[in-house]
Amino acid sequence: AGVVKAEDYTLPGYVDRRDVPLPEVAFVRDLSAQQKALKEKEKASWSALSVDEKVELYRIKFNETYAEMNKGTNEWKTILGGALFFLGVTGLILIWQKHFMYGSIPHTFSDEWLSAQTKRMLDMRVNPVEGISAQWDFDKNEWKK
Amino acid sequence: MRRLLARRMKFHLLGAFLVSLGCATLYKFGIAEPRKRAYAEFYKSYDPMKDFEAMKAAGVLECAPPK
Repeated sequence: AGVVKAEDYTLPGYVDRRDVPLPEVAFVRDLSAQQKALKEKEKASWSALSVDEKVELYRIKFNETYAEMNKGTNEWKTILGGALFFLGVTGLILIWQKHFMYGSIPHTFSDEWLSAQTKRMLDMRVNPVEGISAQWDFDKNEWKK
Repeated sequence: MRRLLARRMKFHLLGAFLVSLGCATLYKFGIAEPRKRAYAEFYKSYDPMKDFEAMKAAGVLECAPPK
């Protein structure tokens, strides 16, 4: 009377984790009559138990075996597919934006401007060792092959 | 389960060491060494006065007009 019922999540629980070999409680909480009888039989000598009974006792105590617990899933395919799908959606949005929303790009991107700009960079010998001036043949006045 | 952390740690420590060594080696021999060679080659036959005359003639030097 006047005591709050202990919620499920506040009580010790069962976990399937590699680093918790013996969880705080057994997996099966409410045993059927058959399982209760088996638990009584467990109190006697274990060599009297058949293999199936041993497996049943194991399954009462644990949910998955280590092999089942550690098994990989196919979840990565879902994740990869979902990520790529949303990247595609983003691409469509960007295409829509470029077509319907954005104005013109600056005049400094026109071909004439770009070639004049490149010529000036070459005249100034910008990046002559590994960069753009290294790709230009100054004697023949053309790009190096 | 036995020695779970130790096994995992050994694997990852070794892996991290090898990966970082590998990255450093790849960078050195893929990027650093070619770059050093490129600079050496460039300056072997570099004539700064010729370069200066070429830039002057092109008209990009404000204080040294082609005239």
